[in-house]
Amino acid sequence: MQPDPSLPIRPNFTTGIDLTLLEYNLSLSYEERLANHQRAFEILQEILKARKALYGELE
Amino acid sequence: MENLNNLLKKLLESKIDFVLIGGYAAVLHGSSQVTQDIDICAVMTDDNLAKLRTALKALEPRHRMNASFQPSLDEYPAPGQKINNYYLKTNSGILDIIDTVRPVGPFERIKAQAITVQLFGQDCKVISLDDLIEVKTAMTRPKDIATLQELKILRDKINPQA
Repeated sequence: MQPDPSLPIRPNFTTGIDLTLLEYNLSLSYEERLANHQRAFEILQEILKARKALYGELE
Repeated sequence: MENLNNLLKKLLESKIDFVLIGGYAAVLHGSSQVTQDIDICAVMTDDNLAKLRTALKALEPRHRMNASFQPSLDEYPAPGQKINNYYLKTNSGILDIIDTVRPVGPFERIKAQAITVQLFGQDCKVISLDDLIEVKTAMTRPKDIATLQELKILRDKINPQA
């Protein structure tokens, strides 16, 4: 299926930044932004732990 | 599990006069980037150091920059010694404290333009979006460039007339 050329191109298609994420963040309270970040941070910690188990400590 | 929000709560409870800077400030401004530490700008007077030691005691803070010398925050600096910047690791995550944010300026300058937000029932000073953009503009790491792009878009969204 081809994109509809009549629809405006959103900046995220040209800069690589997902604007919907930023718009979503702006809709949240400050504490909600930090809570979301903590969840992402914990996932990242798990990924880094798994990487360390696989490859050891990387510089 | 490290919990940066827990670390921030301890800092707020400590009543140290500080401004949140760096990636965590970017998150509060709306960035989607994930940061792995908390950076604050503060002048570490004897009074602030005493408050910090009390607030973080349960988190076992240690200096981390020198692999062969990682004393606890209680041990170092000793009375009479003065250090301007602290690079700590705690049970809740990494905490960096600096007294000057290049290229914007020293603590008082950062504080003068900071915004205040309510977090965990406390007032928290956060570096202004314009100052944070200036700081990130001076950095060259890929993650800082990614954050900078987001911050500029966020500024346009928050204040489209600027």
